[in-house]
Amino acid sequence: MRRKQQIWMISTLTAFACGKHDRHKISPPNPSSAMEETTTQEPQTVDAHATASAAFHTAARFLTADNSDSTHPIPGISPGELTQPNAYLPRRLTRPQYLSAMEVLFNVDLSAERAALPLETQVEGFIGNVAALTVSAKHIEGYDQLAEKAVRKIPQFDKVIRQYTSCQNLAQASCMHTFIERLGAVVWRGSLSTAEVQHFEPIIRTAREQKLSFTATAQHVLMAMLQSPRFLYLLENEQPAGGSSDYRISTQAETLSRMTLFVLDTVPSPRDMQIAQGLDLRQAQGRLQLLDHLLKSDRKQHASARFVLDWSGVSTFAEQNMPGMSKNETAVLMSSLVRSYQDIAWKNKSSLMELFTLDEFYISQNISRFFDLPTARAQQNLQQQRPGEAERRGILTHPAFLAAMSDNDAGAIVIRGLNLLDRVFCGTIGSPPAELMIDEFTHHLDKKATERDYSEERLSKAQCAGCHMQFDTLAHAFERFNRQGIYHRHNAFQSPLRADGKFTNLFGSFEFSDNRGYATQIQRNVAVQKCLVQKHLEFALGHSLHPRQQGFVTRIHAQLTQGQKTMSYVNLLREIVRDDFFIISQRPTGDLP
Amino acid sequence: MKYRKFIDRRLFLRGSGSIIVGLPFLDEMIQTSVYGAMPQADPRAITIFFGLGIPKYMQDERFASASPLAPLQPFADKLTMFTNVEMTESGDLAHPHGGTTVFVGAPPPNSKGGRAGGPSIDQFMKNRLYKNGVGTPLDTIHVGSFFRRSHGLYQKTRVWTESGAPAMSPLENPSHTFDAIFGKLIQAQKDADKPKTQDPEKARRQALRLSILDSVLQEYKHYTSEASNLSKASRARIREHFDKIRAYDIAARQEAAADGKPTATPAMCSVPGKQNPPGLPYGLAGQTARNAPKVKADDFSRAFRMNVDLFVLGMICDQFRFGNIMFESSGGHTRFDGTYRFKNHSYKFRDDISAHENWHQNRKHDMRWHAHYFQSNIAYALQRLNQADTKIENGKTLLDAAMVMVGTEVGENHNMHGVFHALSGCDGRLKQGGFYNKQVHAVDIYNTVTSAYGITEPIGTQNRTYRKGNLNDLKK
Repeated sequence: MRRKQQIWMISTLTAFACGKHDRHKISPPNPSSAMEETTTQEPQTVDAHATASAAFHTAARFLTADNSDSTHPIPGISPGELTQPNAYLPRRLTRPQYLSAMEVLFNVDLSAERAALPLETQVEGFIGNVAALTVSAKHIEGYDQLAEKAVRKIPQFDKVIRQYTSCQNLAQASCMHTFIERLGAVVWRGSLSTAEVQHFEPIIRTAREQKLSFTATAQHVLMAMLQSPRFLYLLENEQPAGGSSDYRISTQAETLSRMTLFVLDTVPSPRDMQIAQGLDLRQAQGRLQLLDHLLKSDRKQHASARFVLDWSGVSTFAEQNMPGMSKNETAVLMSSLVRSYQDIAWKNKSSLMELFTLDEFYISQNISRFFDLPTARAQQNLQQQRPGEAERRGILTHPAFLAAMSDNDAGAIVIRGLNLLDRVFCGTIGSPPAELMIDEFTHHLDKKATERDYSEERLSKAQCAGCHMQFDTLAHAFERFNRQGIYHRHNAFQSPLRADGKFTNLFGSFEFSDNRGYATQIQRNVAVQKCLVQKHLEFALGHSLHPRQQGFVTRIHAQLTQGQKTMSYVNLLREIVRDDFFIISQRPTGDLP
Repeated sequence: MKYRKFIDRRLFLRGSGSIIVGLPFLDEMIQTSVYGAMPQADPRAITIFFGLGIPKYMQDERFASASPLAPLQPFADKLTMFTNVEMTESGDLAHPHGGTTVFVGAPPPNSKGGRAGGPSIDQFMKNRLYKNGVGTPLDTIHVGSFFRRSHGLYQKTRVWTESGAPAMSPLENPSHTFDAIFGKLIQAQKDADKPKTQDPEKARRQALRLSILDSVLQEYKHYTSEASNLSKASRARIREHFDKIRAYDIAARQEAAADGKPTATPAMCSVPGKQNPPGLPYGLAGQTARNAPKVKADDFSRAFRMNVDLFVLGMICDQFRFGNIMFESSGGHTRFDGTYRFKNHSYKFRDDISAHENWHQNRKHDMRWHAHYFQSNIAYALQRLNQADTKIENGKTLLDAAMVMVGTEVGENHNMHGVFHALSGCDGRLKQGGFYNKQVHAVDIYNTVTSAYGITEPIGTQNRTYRKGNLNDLKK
């Protein structure tokens, strides 16, 4: 990048972040003082100065508009729909997001050091669910270590400093303050208050005592920034907007961060900030334009991969083997699952519902046994091909998906049914009777009995059928797939396993002769379509939806399926970010959940 | 009258070689007041969990030798045993609801079992009794032996933050527990035992590191204050991070202070050597019923007891003051193998199905002896907390001086009636010993405890349809 362009970009970014949103002051910063600061402390070139000044002006206008509009109710959204305690607790960067943030901001690869941070546990479906994003002592230590490693790895740190300030005199307080303000605006995705700049004084003081260079001091400043809540959390203004509204519209910077986390699974890059600078993200059109820009990034595949790993439950096995599989088999199966999803999302750009009727899977020699194929019939590396058994159809029969939604062979129908109910239909079920003794119903079944035999017993008893009908029948089509997803026609005692069944529950009613027929019905099911919308929306927002918010799912689904539209991944992203629900900020109701 | 900190707990002791030698606790180290009253120690809270509950009718057998409560008899005068506890506030989904409500007293926000409806009592007390942070190197420790972990966090999580999120995952492998509790302490000791040479470069680096932590802490402090533009709920979330980073900062300062000086080993702390734990399939993803992991009961107990030992030693060393010890998860699914013996009783575990299935199939004999076996391990933890070497600053053992609460997730058999609890005297704040057979709700026990510590804010659900219980007869 040429020097002039560099200076222009950094000035613009600083303006974007600083100008539009001050976290501590209600009033926007004075654009004229911002310009003066630029004039006095960034005497680079005439061109750079002019560009920066213009950027500050633009940013200030955005901020003013943000504040004035934040109290306006959005047509079509009633406050009652937004009542969700705990909805907007600050989201912490997940481990994958933290690592990619280092690449996006500093071009530093810390993947080899990823074990320094624990991988988040899936809560309510996603590792990025706000409920999962607590911290442990290991996080604290990891953030400390990784901040230092990242800073040490940044190539030519001197050049980074020059991007933010030309003055490098540690004895002159304003030099370091300017650097902190401008670097912080990018790293922290928003402007810094005076108090926040002062928070770095202990470092500056110690550096002066030790006679450190400006560069070394700047490195320590950045280490602190990378451990601060402003970097690690998606902090949003939660002060009441005022007026009669109980919610506010997120600011430019907040919306940008929400969008990059959703679409790219990372923080905004300097380039993203630059693009957003010229857009009005309060308007759907502005968000769609930003989305078009974000979709040019290869990182979009990181987010879609994260989605399918979480949605399928396969994330659970990110750091351990799937039962009955080696570490390598687990890893390759995960890749295979992701590639199937990526094809639908990015290569074919077809309807996501086609996931349920996939006829080909990514198979390689070392995982061919899970697809009922002799090793000789598979390629060495992952290639798309038909599985050995024609009954295997759709992503629900991918061995990784089956393994993740199983618990064990015994009771598999119940566990798989409950998982399908949650992941594919977004349904919930009440609790079993407290004193239920299953032995009373099944004691006559011998050891050769199949899972279907047990299930049929449950469904034949009035006490059980009311609930089990809602989920047992979802899993009947998978009886022939064992815990590892391998196809069998008989159980260990040579009792025949069935593939047919009758799907009868709140989500529809149909009969099927085998899994192929089942898959076709699932693909057409509107409840499944809506559930996919809901899951992506929850992924976007980082929290589960409250039942009162189902209206938004219905609205987005209607937009997505009207006319000749295809329910593709990209169209789904577009409808989610287009909807004003995406930019709503609601103060958590009550003090604590 | 309350007394605090009668002795300097951080008497420095220089180690010999790489072995850290702890001073024995001497009664002379305690100053008794002219009134003769025993001073109260700094608050500590330990919850002890066991899975699957004890059927109410077995609780009513009290200490009869075949009763599952028999192993607890040695603590009859130390613990109040609650045998008629209602936990219907939890909801009726036995393991997910009970597992997230025990020690919390509020129903979970949904039936998925990934979150609790609020903080567990240990975290609740910690955050209110130590508003400026506990000041120990570790915030909380959660140890346990358990299987079945794929279905939901309710199974293995017993410590919940203010927002109802897991405070930490339990440490299963005693090797990991050892490293988590003592790793840094031992490293500090090793560093201190090295020949001391002035290393200006190291001192310079330490000063810079501490200055970074200073800066970071100021930022966190701002976002936990009302001056930030965050809601109270969000500030509480940041506060959880703040507390941990502050503990980290304290450890860093101790490390810096120890450099070139005598080791900062607390006076009563004697760090053990690291031992090899039994070879259990730690971290195994969940399987159930016939396919649940088959484990020798003796190995399972040994791993648990090693964790208990480390937990107790960690507390003596004041590495942390709050935490949980767990024996088997909520809805536990371990297939135990071997024979359990108690006095003249002998029970051969039924190893073809998991312990849980005995409850599902209402096999009363098997339930009894599984529960009995569980309590024999809980008794080990209690005995360890009651040993003379656990005496802390006011001369009482941890069992006497700390808030020690035993609980489980279900009652009779997968229902929420008769959910066994037991409670220590909370450092003289509450009466100790005896059976409490009057019907009481778990949330009322929790509130009785917290109010005894002077906390006025209620814990748990307040939207109860039943009469709010008042355990005045428990108060002194």
